[in-house]
Amino acid sequence: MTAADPGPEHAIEIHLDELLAARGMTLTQLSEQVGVTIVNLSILKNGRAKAIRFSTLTKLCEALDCQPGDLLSWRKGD
Amino acid sequence: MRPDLDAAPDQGTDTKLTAPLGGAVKFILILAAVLLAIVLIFAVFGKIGLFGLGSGRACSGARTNGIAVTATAGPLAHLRSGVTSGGGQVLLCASHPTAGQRVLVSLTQVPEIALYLAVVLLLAQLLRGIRAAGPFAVTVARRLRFLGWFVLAGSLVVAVGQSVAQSAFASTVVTGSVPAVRNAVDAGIAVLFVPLLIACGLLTLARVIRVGARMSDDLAGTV
Repeated sequence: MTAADPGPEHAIEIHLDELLAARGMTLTQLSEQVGVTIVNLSILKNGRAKAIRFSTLTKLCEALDCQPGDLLSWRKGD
Repeated sequence: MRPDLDAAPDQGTDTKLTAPLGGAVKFILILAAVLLAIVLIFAVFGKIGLFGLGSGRACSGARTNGIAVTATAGPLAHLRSGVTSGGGQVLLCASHPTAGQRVLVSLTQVPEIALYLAVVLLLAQLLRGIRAAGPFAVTVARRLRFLGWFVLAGSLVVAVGQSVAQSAFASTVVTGSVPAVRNAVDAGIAVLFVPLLIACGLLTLARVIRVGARMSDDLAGTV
């Protein structure tokens, strides 16, 4: 990480990769099910999203059959 | 409405977004190009005098501050009884102007036109920025801020500069002294109000756009 790149402003981790792998789903399939573009899902998956809408979270939980806590977690700082 | 990150820019919407200023700027630039071509052709080949160019007389307005007006009733003749005329400006013309007088006359008119053209070009650049990055972008805010300061500083510099040129020209055609400093201060004060108001408006708008750009940036990262 360079000085010009301060890194993420939050300590929330997204576990989309793990949930997709556990459900045997691809990002494309999830995108079709929840109606969110692959670009936006990639942003979310890679931790570059600044915020997540409750409506998106609801659709993701429905599609992945999980709780918000399964998708998000807080990483304790050093 | 959230901007879709992977959506292609909609040209039709972009044109509507910058209307009617976009159309006006385009029209003014085309008109300016045509007028400039006509002026240059007439100035080089014709007999007219414009901006001090051409073979005609070189004329410039001059403030009557400190210049004696000899007519008892003022500069206008054929006035009805009991009426006097006066004015802040008189038109001074040199029938056989020297090169220096031509330059001075040019300097009384060209800077103002150059300022208008520069403002129109900056507006065109601003509109291009809006079409490229959307209305709420840091670039747009920066260009608006620059435009605001440019309008204010440019108007003042042009007004004072043209007044100095007018006084310098006047001093070559009248025998008395011309109060150049007083004229320049008067010109600066006279022109100050409207550009100041426009500049304040543009600078405030730039701040609003900057806040909007931050909000837009946050929204773009919302999934």
